[in-house]
Amino acid sequence: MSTDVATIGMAPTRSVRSLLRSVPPLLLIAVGLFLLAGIVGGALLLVPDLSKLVFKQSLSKAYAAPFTKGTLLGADQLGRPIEWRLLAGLGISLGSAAAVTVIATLIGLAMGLLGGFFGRTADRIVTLVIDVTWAYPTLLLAVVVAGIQGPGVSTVIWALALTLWAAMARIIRAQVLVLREQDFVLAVRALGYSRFYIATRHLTPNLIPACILMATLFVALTIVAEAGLSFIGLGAQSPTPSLGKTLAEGFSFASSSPWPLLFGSATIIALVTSLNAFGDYLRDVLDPKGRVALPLPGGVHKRAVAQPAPATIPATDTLVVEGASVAIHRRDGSEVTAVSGFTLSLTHGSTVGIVGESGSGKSVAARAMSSLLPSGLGLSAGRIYWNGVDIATIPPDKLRDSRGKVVGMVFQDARASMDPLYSIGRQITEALRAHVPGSARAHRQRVLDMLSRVGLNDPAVYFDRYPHELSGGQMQRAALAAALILEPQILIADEPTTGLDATTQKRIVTLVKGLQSEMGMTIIWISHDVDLVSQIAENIIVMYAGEVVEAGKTGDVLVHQRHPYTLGLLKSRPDLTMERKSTLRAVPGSVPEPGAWPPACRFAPRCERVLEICGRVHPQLAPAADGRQVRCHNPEPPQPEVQRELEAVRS
Amino acid sequence: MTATAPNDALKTSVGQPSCPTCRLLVGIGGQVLYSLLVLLLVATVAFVGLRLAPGDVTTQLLDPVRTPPEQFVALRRELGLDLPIWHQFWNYLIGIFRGDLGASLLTRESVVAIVAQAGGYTVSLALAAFCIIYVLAIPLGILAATFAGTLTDKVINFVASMLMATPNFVLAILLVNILALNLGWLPVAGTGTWLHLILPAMVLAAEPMGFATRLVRTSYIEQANAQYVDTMRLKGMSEHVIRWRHIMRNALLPVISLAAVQVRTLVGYTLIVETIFRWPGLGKRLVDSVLTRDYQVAQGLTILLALVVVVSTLVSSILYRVVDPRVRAS
Repeated sequence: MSTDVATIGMAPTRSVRSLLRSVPPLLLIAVGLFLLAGIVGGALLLVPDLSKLVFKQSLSKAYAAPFTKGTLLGADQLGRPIEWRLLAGLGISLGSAAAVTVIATLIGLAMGLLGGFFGRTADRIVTLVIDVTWAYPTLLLAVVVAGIQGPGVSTVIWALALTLWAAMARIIRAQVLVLREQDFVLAVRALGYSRFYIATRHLTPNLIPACILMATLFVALTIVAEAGLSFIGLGAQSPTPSLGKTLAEGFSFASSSPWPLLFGSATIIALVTSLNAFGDYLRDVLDPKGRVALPLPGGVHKRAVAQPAPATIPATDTLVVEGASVAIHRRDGSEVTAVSGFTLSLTHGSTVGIVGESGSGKSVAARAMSSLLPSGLGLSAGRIYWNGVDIATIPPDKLRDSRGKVVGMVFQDARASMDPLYSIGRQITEALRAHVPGSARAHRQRVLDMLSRVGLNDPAVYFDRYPHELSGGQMQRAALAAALILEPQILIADEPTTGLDATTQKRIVTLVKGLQSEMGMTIIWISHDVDLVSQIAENIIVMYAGEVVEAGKTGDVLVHQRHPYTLGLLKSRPDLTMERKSTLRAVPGSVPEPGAWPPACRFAPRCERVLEICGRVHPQLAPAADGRQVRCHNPEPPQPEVQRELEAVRS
Repeated sequence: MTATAPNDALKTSVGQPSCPTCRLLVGIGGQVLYSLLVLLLVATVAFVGLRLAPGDVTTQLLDPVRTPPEQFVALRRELGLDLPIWHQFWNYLIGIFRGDLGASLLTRESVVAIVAQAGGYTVSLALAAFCIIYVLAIPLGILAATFAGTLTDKVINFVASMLMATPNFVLAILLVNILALNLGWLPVAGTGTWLHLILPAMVLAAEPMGFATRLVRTSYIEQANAQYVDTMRLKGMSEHVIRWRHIMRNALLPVISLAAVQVRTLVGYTLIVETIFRWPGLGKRLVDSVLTRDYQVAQGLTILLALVVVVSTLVSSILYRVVDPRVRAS
């Protein structure tokens, strides 16, 4: 009677075939063999000529050991061969499991659909019926039904089906609640089809995988429950050879022959183990929440190769990165480069924007600069300096103390970056307390000040709010307050406005600009949105496939893109001043995954200006005359008419 | 989500009290009322279910062939069975409301007396099982999660899976044979000393413990990988605070609802485990009453055990509201 039935939740839609593909072949074979044994066992009981194999008593064979007196696994106290008894027992168990599963699934599916898709009143009634049913523990109901109807296999079947449907209905209802908001359902509804038609034709096929998973649980539950009830005398009655009955008799006569008990236990454990494992694999596919990613090695700064002695770093440079490479540590022990040779130098109070498509390595580079890479990533080459000190040389304790004071970071999903169980104010205070001594009152005042500085007016109210109570824009402000509470010298903003609407984006950018002039921070702003970055950054770095392809002053890069990728990136955005006839040009293809980078120029396969050399030689990031850096064998030449046009627009 | 200016009023639903504690109390009140409704229906189903049993209770008490009919009429009147069905139902509900769960027709013993006598055994058994489950499952789950992917993790996971796959009566046979019959460390069955409690409690706890261990492990790994943990590290907070105050609290939240589910599971298991170990608790009394066709006792005990399930569900959802601010308002 496993507890898991009531506690799983799943993401819908998966084909049955892809489900089975995720199960290891050996396990599939084991489950298949049990099914076959069940069918053979069922035939043994149903075909009169064969059933005497199961029931025929022979006193001369009583308590026979395995492989003696013409038996394979020995015989029980009445001389009936154990192997036939067990086969028949599997037949009874799997047959009753099939019956329970079919009844419970049909009722559960119907009720789940009714509750999830046929209005609020129906939903309330269905939920109430489920809760009332679920108040009776399954085994308790089975015992009571067995008492009223008289013990027997069929009463066990009814009793289990009458409670287990509620578990199925609960899961199906939850899935329908998700499914009904999905586009394909909304679309069919808009076409005016009846709810019944949609429920049967469109929803049910998507619910089948969940039904299959629940069914494997039901089968395991039925087998255990039937055997348990038979064992205490409320299930199958002699001479019905159910597994529980065989075990109960084996237990009674264990001192004369241990074999029936031994083989009976082994059969039932093997059967339930393989069914549970089967269910686990199905759940891994169906319930992505359950399939947790194991932490990987890495996450710390470690260098595989010896580095040349550091050059003297000017103390005016708040942050310097020299040829940093970040490797992804795979589970099989191999390493793949995610960022290579990243170099950057930021003076105090400056702002740089890092742009690129997703997968370009911009976020990974940012995390490397923050001194804390996510687990599974590690710095494989290069150095990162905070205020002229190589952070790899800072002892862990001191480094932790510097975190938050030197670098503050905000993320795209501000809500996920806060613990949902504590109020905003408490969490910000906690970070403050970890670094700054002082009274609780002084800390609170400082947090309140910071909340109002990030534009959360009425900070005392927001102090006690929980993350789920704030809107996206408010939440990003709260995250900013948390990042800035220790007045860091550097703020790294990783797509902080991406999930927000345009008006809120603009407000956040204005806010950060204002805070920068007040507090004098250095800012690294990461985005895929060139226009947004150009509002705040003096310098722009364009990244592609883990490396910098172009860097320069924002104005220069906006006016004239030298790298073909930058040109593509800027051409692909809409613009109010665009002539109606000109078309948006998206860069064809997509960023290659780390590990699949072309050996020479990584952009070559997507490039319009590709030359023969691009397939042979990896281009270096070369400084150009205007202070710009470009990694290209064939950069775009200056185009005067484009330049004039853009300048006219800008002025 | 629409654009929100910083000075926008905070979202408050119309018709809801504004202070958080009031909202919490209103939510809890609603749940209590709902649970009462569920209980009423549970009692109704039990009443109807008993009427579906074959034969009249009087035919069990009196010999239908030899007893004169007037004796039947007298007994029916005495038991209130001559009243219209709705009147019987009303009396039955009033009885439950007053704490009267009926009485055995065979021994005249009231269900309340049976509960007073057997309840303690079941409560001590279930409590012992609960202690075993969570005292072991939570540290083991966290240990497995902390060393996820290593041998420690694999061993714990394997043991948990085996506990889940072994039916409790099979485990009972195994443990009785090894610990009681072969080694003689523990008594085989029955009551008397606290040693008698160990075997049934272990058997009762095994499967739920395996499941709880795996749940805690999954939940902990999920929380340890959450983005807020990274953000806290970036703020330079100590691993100690992050782990014990944040990851742990989030990771153990699902245990609250699991515990309620497992109360239901344990109630079902006690029927089998108490019978096997001849443990004179409510489960064994229920099985005995079913076997002797003492339906009044079966009905009373069923309602009582269903009450335990409903109340534990209620308690767990109230706890959830108190602990998880996200659920509080809804």
